[in-house]
Amino acid sequence: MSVEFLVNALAAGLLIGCFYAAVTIGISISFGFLDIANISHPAFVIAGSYAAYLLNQGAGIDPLLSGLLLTIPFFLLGCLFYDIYFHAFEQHGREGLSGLAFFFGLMFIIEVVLIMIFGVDFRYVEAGYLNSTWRLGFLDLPLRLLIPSLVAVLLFVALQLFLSTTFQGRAIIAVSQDPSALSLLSIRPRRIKRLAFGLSVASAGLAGALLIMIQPVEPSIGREYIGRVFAICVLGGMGSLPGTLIAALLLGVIESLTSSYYGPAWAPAVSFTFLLATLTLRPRGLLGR
Amino acid sequence: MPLFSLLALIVAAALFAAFLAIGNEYLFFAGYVVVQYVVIATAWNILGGYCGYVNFGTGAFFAVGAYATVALHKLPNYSENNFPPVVAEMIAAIFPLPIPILILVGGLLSGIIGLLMGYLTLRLRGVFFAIATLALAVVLQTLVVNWDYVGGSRGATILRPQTTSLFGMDYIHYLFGLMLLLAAIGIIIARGIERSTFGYGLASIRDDELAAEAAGVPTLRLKLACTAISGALMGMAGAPFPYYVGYVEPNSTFSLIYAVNAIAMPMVGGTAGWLGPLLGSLTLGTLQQIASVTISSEASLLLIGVILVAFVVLAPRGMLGWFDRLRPRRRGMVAAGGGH
Amino acid sequence: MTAFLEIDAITKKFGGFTALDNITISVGRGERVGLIGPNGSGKSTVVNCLSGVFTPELGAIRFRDQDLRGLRAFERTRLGIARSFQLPKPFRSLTVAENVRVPLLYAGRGRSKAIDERCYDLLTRVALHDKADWLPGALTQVELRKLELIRAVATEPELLLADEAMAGLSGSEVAEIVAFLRQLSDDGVTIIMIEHIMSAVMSFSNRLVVLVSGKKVADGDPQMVVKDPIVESAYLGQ
Repeated sequence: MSVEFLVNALAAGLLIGCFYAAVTIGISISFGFLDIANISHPAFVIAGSYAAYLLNQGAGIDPLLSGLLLTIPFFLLGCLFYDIYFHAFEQHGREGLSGLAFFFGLMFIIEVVLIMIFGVDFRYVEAGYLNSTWRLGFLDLPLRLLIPSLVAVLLFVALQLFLSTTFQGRAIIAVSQDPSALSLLSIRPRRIKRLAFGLSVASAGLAGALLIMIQPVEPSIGREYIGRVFAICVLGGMGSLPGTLIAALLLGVIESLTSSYYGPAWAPAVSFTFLLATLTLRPRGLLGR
Repeated sequence: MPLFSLLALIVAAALFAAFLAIGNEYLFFAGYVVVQYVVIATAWNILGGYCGYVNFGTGAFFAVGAYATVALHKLPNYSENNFPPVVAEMIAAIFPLPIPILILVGGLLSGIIGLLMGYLTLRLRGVFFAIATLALAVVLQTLVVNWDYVGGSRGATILRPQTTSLFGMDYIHYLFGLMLLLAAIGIIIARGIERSTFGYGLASIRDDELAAEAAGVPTLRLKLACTAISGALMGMAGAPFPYYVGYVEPNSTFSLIYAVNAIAMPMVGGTAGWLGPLLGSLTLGTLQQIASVTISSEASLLLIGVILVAFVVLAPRGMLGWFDRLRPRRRGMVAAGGGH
Repeated sequence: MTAFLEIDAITKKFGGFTALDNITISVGRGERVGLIGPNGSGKSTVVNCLSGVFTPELGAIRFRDQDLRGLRAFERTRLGIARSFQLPKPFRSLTVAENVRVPLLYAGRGRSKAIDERCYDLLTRVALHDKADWLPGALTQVELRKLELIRAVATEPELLLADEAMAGLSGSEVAEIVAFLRQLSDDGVTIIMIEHIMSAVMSFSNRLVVLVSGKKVADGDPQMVVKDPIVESAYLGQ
């Protein structure tokens, strides 16, 4: 096909990749730093989407604003769930089977509750600017994709800065490497982990609001994202945020090209195949941790 | 062990006779689903409870069995139009295949898929294995959705005969009986594994894989065998499904409900031994049937999710754990206990 | 004829960090080798390379003239190389007896008696036979160490790697373990003891190897090695 087509597909891929990075960063924190395999993270994202939908439909609030507002209740939710997780599992060293089952159950509950409340129809938000498209020569950049992607990058950079410059941020990185050293500095590892997990879920809330700006959502979309976020996390190197961004962009582009040239029916398979391939061929850092 | 096998088969036969005597048609339909879950839960637990590896992709293995049946069901028709006459005649002679053969085929295919998946992913930490199973399920589903021969996303209709050649029994009764037999076999296999050298090997892998290797346990080999057996049983449970339901389409066949139930039932019942998945599937299966009839099918799904999370947090050893309180120390049985 | 165990110029790196730098050690059959060195000097890495958990980038390991490269951990166990772990790793959901059963089932060679009998015999050797039905969670530290060791012994090894089997134990407990190891040695098992407790090392070993920062700095008669000024300053002085 034409160069125009290719370039547009690439651009769309890069933009959606930015968004994927924003979704994944929560997992990078919870899984990369805290070693908590929170597979319900995408379900929280979808919950965020629906929350933004309600705010938009009910009170006419702009989805971007909703996203920012939602970070607070989602942060608190994250803290709550970390406490449950800690008391039920981490405390007793039973994170393996039970931890996975816990988050799987949680993911399922969220999805079913959303179906019960909203049904399986697609929901979307309305905001004036979302319908425009910015044209650069032959490059079509729809704002509904461009703006969330830019915000996603901002979120990403903000979290990166938080982790590398602030005291709490560096404590989070430290706790992933040596929790006992942290307690020697009279910082309780549990508090730091709770903070980190709260941030992780808060980012999910914001990402959800961005998602519903990009595309209409329905409850089961979260499942597609499980493969994407873990594929990105693994490929990018766990806990390496720059790696996560690159991997996210890569995945976004490959998906976009596949979708453009072969049709969208194959899209879910791309990320999951990616994941399988990564796990099989490049499992460095995953063996025997 | 032979005694147990005999007992299991007798119980299955007795249940079958009882259902026939009661004669309520709805019971057969509901019973089929519950017994199907006994097989699935038992199968899941062999890999999950005994070996410690969580499989989120149960739906995929189940669907492989179901779609194998669909593919074989459509073969005579397809071969008539596309294969050389000689081949088409041969196929017409042996088809349609009897259900027990389909079960074996479904089981074989699922077992092979389990083996392949295991080979790709079993070197990884448990968490990544679990995610990989989810990935596999999505990939398989996408493949099936795009495969027009079995109907793709439109689905396929499978007409079941009204009666079978066996005593002129009603087909649904026949399917139910087969599923009972499969459940008995699954439980016999599970119990057999528990008490064997293989079972001890799996338990050691579950408790500490590194130490197991150091003790001479060929961990990869055992894990692969485990995945194959578990997957095969799930595939066998799925093989008769098209005849039961009449219409097979990817979304419901690959549905996450299988994955959730496959995890919830053993974890609620208890992962320590064969009795746990049985208890869990009987209770949760029946509860779901009741809830979807009296409230709604979404409500029954929600119920399962909530019960799963509640048990995982509050009663990690499941129902078997309640009985465990009566026996403080474990003897003989290879038990999973509340250790993970 | 090569030695019973040949560690031939192995180098092991983790990313940019060199854990083992050109280590060569020859161990004769029946020797009682003490492997000492400061924390992080690479002792456990040697054990992990020998047992197959890690693969060295350079060099080779030969056991009874057989190159171990490519052999997985369980295969090495079946060849006759057993190891115990620094932090005991019992099978927590299995009883003490079942913990010993696993290696008997999977690595026991030349079985002459029934598994149960041999299991009981082994447990008696470490005085754990009356706790056969117990779960590891109920055992004391020294009992866990003994379980760890007897599990390794159950594989009928010709070479035993005892990785800090005595850390944190009291004086009499240390003596207990040393006596047990000495008995094993008398039965013909070659033992490499990785340890920090110098009294144990000196009373047990007939050869001492010292590692510092991944390099071998001394290798020989224990009495001579401890007087070596390099060893004194690098390790014993701490």
